[in-house]
Amino acid sequence: MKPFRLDRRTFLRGAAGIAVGLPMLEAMLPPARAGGDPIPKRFVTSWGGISLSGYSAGGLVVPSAAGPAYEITRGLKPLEELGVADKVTIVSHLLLPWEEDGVMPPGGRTIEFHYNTLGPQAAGTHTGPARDGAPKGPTADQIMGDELGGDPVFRALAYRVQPASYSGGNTIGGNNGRMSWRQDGDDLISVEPIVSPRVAFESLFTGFVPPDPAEAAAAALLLRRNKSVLDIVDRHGSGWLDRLGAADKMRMERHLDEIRALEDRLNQMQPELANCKMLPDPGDDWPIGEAFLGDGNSYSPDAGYSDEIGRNEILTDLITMAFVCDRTRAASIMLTEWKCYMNMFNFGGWESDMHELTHGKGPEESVADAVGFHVRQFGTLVAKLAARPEVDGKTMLDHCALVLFLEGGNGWNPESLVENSAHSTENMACFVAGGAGGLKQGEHIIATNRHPGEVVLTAMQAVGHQGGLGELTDPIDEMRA
Amino acid sequence: MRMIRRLGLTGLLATGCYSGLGADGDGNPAGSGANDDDGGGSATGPDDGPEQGAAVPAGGMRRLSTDEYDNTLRDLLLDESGSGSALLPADPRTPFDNDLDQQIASQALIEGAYLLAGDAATRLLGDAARRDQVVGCIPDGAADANCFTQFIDRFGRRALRRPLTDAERTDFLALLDYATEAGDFYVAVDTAIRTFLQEPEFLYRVEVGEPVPAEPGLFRLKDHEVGTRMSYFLLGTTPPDWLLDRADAGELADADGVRGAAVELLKDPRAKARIARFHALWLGYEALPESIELSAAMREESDKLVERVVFEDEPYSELFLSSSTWIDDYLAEHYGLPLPGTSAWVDYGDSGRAGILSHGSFLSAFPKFGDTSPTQRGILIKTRLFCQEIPPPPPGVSADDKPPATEDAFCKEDVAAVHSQGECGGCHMQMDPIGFGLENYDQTGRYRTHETDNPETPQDESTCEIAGKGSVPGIGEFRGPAELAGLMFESGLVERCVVTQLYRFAMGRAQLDANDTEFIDVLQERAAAPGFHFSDLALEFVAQDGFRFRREETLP
Repeated sequence: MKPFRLDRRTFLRGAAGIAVGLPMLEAMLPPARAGGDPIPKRFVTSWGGISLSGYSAGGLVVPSAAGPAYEITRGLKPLEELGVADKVTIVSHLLLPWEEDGVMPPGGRTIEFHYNTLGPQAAGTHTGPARDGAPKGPTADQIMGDELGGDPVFRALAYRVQPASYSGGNTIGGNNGRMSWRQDGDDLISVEPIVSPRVAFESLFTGFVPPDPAEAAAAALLLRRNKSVLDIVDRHGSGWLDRLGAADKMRMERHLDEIRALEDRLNQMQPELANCKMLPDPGDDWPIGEAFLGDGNSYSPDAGYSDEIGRNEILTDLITMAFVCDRTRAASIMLTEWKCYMNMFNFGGWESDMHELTHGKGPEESVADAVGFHVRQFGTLVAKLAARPEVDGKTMLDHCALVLFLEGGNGWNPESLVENSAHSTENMACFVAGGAGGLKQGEHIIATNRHPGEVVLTAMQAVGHQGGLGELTDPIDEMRA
Repeated sequence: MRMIRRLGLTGLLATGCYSGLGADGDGNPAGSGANDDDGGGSATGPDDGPEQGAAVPAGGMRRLSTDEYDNTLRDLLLDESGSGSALLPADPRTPFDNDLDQQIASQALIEGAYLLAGDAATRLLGDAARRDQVVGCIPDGAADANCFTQFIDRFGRRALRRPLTDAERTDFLALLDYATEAGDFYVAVDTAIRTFLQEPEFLYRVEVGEPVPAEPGLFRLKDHEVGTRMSYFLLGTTPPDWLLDRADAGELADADGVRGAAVELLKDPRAKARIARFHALWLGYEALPESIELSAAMREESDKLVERVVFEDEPYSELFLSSSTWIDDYLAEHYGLPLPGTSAWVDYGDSGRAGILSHGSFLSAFPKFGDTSPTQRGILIKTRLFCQEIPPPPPGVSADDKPPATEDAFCKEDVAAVHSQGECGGCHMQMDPIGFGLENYDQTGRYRTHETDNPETPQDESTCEIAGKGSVPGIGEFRGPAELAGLMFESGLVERCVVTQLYRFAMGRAQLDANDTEFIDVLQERAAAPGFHFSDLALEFVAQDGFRFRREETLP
């Protein structure tokens, strides 16, 4: 039973309206916080399963010169179109080191490429063995979810935009689609992101009261029934615990933990904060695209795409409103899976997938467009946060730290011993937004051979984190004023 | 047609369609002798343990895969939405979609199940005819306790796959208060459905069993647990009412009872889809990366062959050796075979094709660099059909980068010869020769004599004539799918691997331990000798003591 439902286009138009910078009205400002509480800091990590280039060190993305007002390259064009080029900083010439002569550097990777570059950046830990890329410690979003405070019920949102692998041949799911790991006692647990915009919407706004009185009454009754449902489910599940073996008991306990977390979410009332409101129901999800071959002779422009642009619009709206409502202060949003096979036809007319484009299926421009796709998705969130005023006259973005990091850079490939490879973690770049802690905005910073995980660490420290990230300890001072 | 005669399948297969609740509303097969005694859900069989020396694998509570979830909703609520696949987290493929080790409870799972339960209840109540069929009675008022009790008992048994306990009944019957409050009987139905669909016992197949005396860590599964195992194995969905009746009556406590029930399950039209799914996951064609029309035609071709071999009870080797294939004019033209005029079995003649290895579905798996990959095809056959391990590439080799060609060596066999020297050769010589024997068939299954030109390379690969000669190292040489299939069965490797893959699928275990392999050994010996029939294998599988018992898992 849904409170109300708007046409998706209506919803997106409305959401986009927020992003184009309407005048800040008094009524839009959140109320002063009790006791003069400081404006909350927020933190977001984002990942793209693409390398910067398959051709040259900076590709057609990284500006040639350092400094503010950087050159708008082909890959950065979306930032200009979204009006946030002056808010997004590029940190380039980064190096994610790899194992050599049996010695693994801090935050290093094994020489095999793809699944093992996320952990060093997201968690600051080395990865391995071989191609096993799972981080060996909690990721930055989860750490900051613990540290930034706010509503513990929504400690850290975890979303993914690309809903499926598209590659066929049963290569679906698992760590390919995860970027967040949390520490639970001695256990390090992968966090399955919410992929469905509908599920994400329902999860975030459960407990909100629709404006229409009749709908509000119906929603209240449904909420009460749903609480009864979960109460029964919890009791019945708990009744099994004494009868299960140790392994099943752990599985059941974990399931019940998640049920109780849902019960907690249902018990949350709508926060009484200005502008905190339920967004229009996004409706059913877009269909998930069919499998396809980016390098085959039966290429289809219609397959391998599930309207990731629309999905990102909704998920970034939800992150923004979650911040406005102070439901969470940390989030991760995985834009594409590792080794991304998304069809690029809709982004430049390239008749292939992102992965194949980095391996010579398309020219350098096509790889820049693939990177540009990620930049656009990231920039969309930046624009929405920049359009949200805060009581100090600044914007929500000014109190945030956001980082987009990518799977690879360009350069030496220690696995196949070739230069100019997309399977390289030389010449990597990260995209940073937000003004928390004096983070510079709208600059190109050359940080030669610094670790991309140190970019993440610097962003964490900008919102108050003390100490390091995994095996990394040194922030990049040039990123902060 | 051996099994059709033996099991009386003909009538059911001819009538085709299945109604989730069955023609009589209970899903009872003709003459099943099903009764309405709920039996309390406890085991009623003998207290002794498994046969001396029987292999008993470990078992844990497995979550329904998204496919199983959708099937279960279809059969419980007559709901064909398939919505689980859209809202639940994707199941990792290893290559099957039900690997216990990959199933981790998460917020995404719980939120998805919560939303799905509400959606399903809302859809049901919005369709009066379907609602009345599922509820099973017409209430005489908002607070009709009699009708609600009937519904709870009947639906609850189907949803939890066992009769409800008294305490559970009390919990569910209390939901009638919501109907009274709202003045609408179906508000209670809605709430009950939401609850059942989120019960851990609905989302997971919880197996506990009864301890076997003097055998610590060994448990005899209760009849309802056995029935549930069988139903999800052979139908991919919740047990039909007649099977629950047999469990109530304690008829699944021994091998004969289980075998008899499995015979009935294999007559159920849903078994066809389940067995087809097993093959598609196993052989890598679940999601075909071709055009929608071509993918559908290829999938139908393979499903039809699986159906013929398994349900018309041909020797299982026919899946690989069949001299005919089910195609229409579209696919026949694609392959270059005689046009049948309509969908029909077409004889391969002397084309060099045979069985499923000739299908575009199988041949489309794992291409690379815009063309077939002999290495990938070799890996597919070695790992999926021979169940042999292939180690990952050694340091210094990237499987994503095309081996560089030279002016003198740009045809695939020449490039492979150059790059399979030294330390690479050890592995590549185990894989590539198999793939080269299939090179005359492109990644959509079409016959070709020359390689496909890649316009992005300076050389013209279309000048590369394909030798088409391959070998299975240590076994023999072949040309094309027909000869490869013959070699496979001569080797004796396939039979054991089929048993292993079926075991992984049935038990949801990708990583096997000693108990698993012992079970597989026994099963192979009993039911997978050369010339075996798949139905015999499936029936023997469930009749094993190890299927009716479980061993406590050891924590890692």
